[in-house]
Amino acid sequence: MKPHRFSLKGAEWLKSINLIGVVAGILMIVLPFAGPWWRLTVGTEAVDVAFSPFNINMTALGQPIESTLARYICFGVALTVIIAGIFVLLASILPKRWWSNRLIRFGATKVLWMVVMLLVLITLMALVVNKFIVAKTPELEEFSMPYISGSTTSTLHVGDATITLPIAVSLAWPFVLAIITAAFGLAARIYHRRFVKPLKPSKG
Amino acid sequence: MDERTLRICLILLSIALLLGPILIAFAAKGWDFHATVIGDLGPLENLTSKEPEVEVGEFGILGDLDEFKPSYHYVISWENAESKLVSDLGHVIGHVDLGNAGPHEGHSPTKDISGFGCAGDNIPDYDDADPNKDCVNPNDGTAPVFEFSASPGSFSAPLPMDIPPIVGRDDPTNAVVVRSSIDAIKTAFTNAGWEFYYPCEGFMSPEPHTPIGEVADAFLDEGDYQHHIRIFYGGHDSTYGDWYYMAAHYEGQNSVPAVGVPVNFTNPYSFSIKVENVSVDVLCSSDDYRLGEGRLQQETVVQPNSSGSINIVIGITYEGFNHLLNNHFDGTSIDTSLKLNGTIRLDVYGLRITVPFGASASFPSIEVFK
Repeated sequence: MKPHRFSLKGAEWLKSINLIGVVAGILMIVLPFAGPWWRLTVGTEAVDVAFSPFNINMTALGQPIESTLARYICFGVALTVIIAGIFVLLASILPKRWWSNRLIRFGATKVLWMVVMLLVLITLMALVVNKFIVAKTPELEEFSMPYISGSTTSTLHVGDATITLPIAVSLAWPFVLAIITAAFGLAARIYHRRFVKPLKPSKG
Repeated sequence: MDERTLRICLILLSIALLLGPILIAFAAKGWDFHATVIGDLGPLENLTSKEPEVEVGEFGILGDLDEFKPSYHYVISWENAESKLVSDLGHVIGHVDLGNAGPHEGHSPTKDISGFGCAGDNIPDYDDADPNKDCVNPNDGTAPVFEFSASPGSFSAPLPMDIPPIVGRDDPTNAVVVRSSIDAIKTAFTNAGWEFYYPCEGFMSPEPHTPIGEVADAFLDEGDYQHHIRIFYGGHDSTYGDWYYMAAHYEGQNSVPAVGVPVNFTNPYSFSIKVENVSVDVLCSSDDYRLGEGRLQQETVVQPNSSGSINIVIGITYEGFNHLLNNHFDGTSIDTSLKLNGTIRLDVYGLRITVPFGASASFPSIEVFK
């Protein structure tokens, strides 16, 4: 019986595709379905915000609060990332096609920007609340909002009433998946340079 | 298609994916900006237009007195111990009528308890409220009366270890009368592993005790529970020496029905509200003299769009009683009302909201007698 010998010959085609891009593309298609990236809870669900660029779920005092605009924008963002993921996947499987570089450039860094924007957004939000709104509103003197992740207990004085607010914010595991996706996307874009041929010469 | 066309197509796709959902959202809501951006807040929109209503009832006994049968718990002179109006330590000048005054049946044990006194009719009675009864017995003749020798070494009676632990009930379920010296009782308890305290240590004779007659407390920790026995001085007999009442005490509760004001709390919202705490100063409405303080009897959750009843237990201090007697006692009743000033703390989904609470409660059910 002829002994079986492991050979990389069968895997030669692997060298002709952008493997990192394939992984990035698959992750980008999966990511919108992974769940919220960041969560804000006030009290034991007095206010609960579960946020990702693809979906926003908000409840206040047990009642859901829904914005049609936010829902459609999130839907658009999810669609964008899924389309970008498909483009990255196609471009990575067929990296030597003339359009592959353009598709990679279109899609590979979409998630990276979302991660950066989310971090900037929630940091800015906490910064604005803590440094500006609290400073200019006497009722909020003892109020403090945690940055990105953490918990605080704040006290508000509204008229004769004193309200104690436990606030907790936290990043969820889908945010880690987003960072991984963003890293793969960035790496795929850099790695893709090895497949890039000089641009199709223009006629004339 | 060339590179340039592809690039333009991707730019157009980006714009379409960005603007498309926005335009569709506005179109779906008939180009109504508010409806598209803010959406439907539902019941939250009415949050500020409603507020809970609080209706305060009359000062009196809290709960159903029919369910509180003092004869099952305490001897009569102890029943009223918590409500004694005293001018000085040990000098009782009257009682707040809580509706349970009067003789109670079944003071004499129905059977001999081997080794102990109070067997039959041969033991004199020390019950001031019911002097014709032979033996003070709180439990229709079934509760034992322990008679101890004044000599600590001869103490051999079982301690009332079967007194139920504190489990949130409002009133005790067992009581005994002990004929002995306080030293013998202390020795017995400490030998059995109890901690023993004199709340008025340092007071001089005739007997160191609190205004309500309490001379000692015995505590025993057992797991999560703490047994607490309060010991009251009963009197002295030339034959039997001192005698004491002992019974289980549940923390925060007295041996008499709680007195206070019932409050009806209406929750107009679509979420439940937990009334977590009430803390009030109790003032005399005539002159704002501080008579005592009040607290919430127990946490209560008021369901959405409904009413719930909460009780504020009121404790009037010794000085407060004196103030009422000296300034507002017209011979048969107290002619003033109570003013409650303080705060109420609510819990709504983990938000603790403390708001001022003020109310007035009349005194209709109070009668004072000498």
